Amino acid sequence: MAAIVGVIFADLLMWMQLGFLNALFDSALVLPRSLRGDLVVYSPLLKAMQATESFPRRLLQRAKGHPDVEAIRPLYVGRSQWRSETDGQRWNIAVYGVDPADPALLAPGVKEFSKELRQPDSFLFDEGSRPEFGPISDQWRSGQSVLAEVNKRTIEIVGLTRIGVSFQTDGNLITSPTNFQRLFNQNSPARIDLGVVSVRPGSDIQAVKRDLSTFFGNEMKVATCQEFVARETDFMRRRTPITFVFTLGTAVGFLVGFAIVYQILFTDVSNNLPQYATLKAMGYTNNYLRQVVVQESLILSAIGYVFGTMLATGLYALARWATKLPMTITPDRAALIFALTLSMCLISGMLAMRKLEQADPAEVF
Amino acid sequence: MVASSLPLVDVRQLNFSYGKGSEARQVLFDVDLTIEPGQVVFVTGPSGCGKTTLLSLIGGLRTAHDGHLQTLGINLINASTSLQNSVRRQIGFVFQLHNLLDFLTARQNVRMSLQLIPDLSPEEMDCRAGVLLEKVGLQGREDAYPSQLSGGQRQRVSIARALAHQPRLILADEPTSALDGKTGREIVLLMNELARTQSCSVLMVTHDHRITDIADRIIAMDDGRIN
Repeated sequence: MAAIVGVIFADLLMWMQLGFLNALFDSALVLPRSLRGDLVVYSPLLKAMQATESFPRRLLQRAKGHPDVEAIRPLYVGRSQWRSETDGQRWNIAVYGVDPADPALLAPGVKEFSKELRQPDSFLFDEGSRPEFGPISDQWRSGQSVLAEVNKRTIEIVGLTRIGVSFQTDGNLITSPTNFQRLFNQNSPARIDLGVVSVRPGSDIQAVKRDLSTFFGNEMKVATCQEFVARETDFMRRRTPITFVFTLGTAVGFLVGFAIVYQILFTDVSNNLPQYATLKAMGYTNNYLRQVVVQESLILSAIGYVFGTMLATGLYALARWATKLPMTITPDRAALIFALTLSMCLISGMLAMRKLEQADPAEVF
Repeated sequence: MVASSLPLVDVRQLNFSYGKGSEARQVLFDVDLTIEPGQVVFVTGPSGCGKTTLLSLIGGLRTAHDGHLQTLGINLINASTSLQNSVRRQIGFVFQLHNLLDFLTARQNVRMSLQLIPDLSPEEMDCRAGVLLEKVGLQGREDAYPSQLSGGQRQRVSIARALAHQPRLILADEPTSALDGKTGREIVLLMNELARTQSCSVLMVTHDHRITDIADRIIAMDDGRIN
């Protein structure tokens, strides 16, 4: 019984650590994944999408010269401060500038509110933002005009979109390039942060990518959208401590579970040593007893896994509600945790069995 | 298989020591002992005289190196673990403490000795376990756990377990020592009676002088020698 609780606890620990790790990746990749197009053009200095590195728009425009390029879409990325209405606190918010008629981002609401976005200082608010920004979505839905102070400028929320928060951003705004430049006091609209390129249907994306790469030379880099997402993942994996931290957390969960299960099985074997010795005296072999312990650990891991996962589902919902991060249980993650649980129980079972071999049938008399 | 006329246990000039070299302490000296089929033999003697050691050597629980030792026709001098195992499977053991598995019911405990017999269906095992529990007077308590049984009842379960696979030899080590005199006598009588009906021999180590009248033969041991 205590062993099952131990396994549940270890499973829960591993689920939470892996959950946060995955939430981190999932949330940070939402934006790169919602780029609308086939190819991404970015500055060679760009480290990650959120750490923006701008470049002249005219460079992107040159891509239009390629016969297979259907459209080019500039994306403006900026970070600013939102001043809370209620307590005057400033909160970081990410701002994206897209052409409302042909947006570089696949975000809901952009086309719907394209007319409103053309008005000066008009913005879409991400309803998946953290609650610190105030009940913006509710206010907007009730038909009130929603004004806010961002970057010491009064803006109006004219609609809602949904992107979701990540570890780097607490909230998001989308607007038109003109409003973007106005907000950041940029005089020239000529510097953009990312370019998205659509190729004509039926043309070879890889070929266009090669052409553009040669064409831009050292000035710009070109990647397919998939490669760009992979690049973002790679950046997080290598250049930030998150993977290490949460993988370590998962490993600690594994070790804790292992130690608990081992301790319990070991105590169980020790307490029943005369009984096991009796079985040996009756002619049972070490191998038979080993099978018993293996079965015991299989049952242990199965029960512990089921309850641990049930509890984790509840805690995930809680974490989603509290952090607004995308904490989800997917089949491959479930399989990974099950494999970890199983090996945890098996290894500790095997080690506990070494004690079993000490059971000397001659000592039962 | 050996012919039934041969002795079940044949011990000659058996020596045994614990430890090695200068540390060695010899506990058995030139022991001779034969048990014919169907015999009930008691071994008595003060503690530490080597009775239990002799029993564990005959049962293949310890390895003997010096002398002649055959149990059920199998030579156990320097025997391998697997050979010892095959001998053990043909012997019924009754211990000083019952040594039942406390997470199994009485019936499941008896089944433990049946599981080593190949080609026995679970139904047959349950049936044979039930018959034996009835014979030891535990009908109706088949599904009780050891903790729910009295000391005498537990020892009855362990006798049922020792007899279930129809061994030709039972080795018992002071099975009455944890029981009061009356219960102890009942238990030993029951064990011998059941052994006789299965034409099974019994070799029992005991201190208890009140039950010596049950034995066919009594062997007195002292200081590692048979008197």
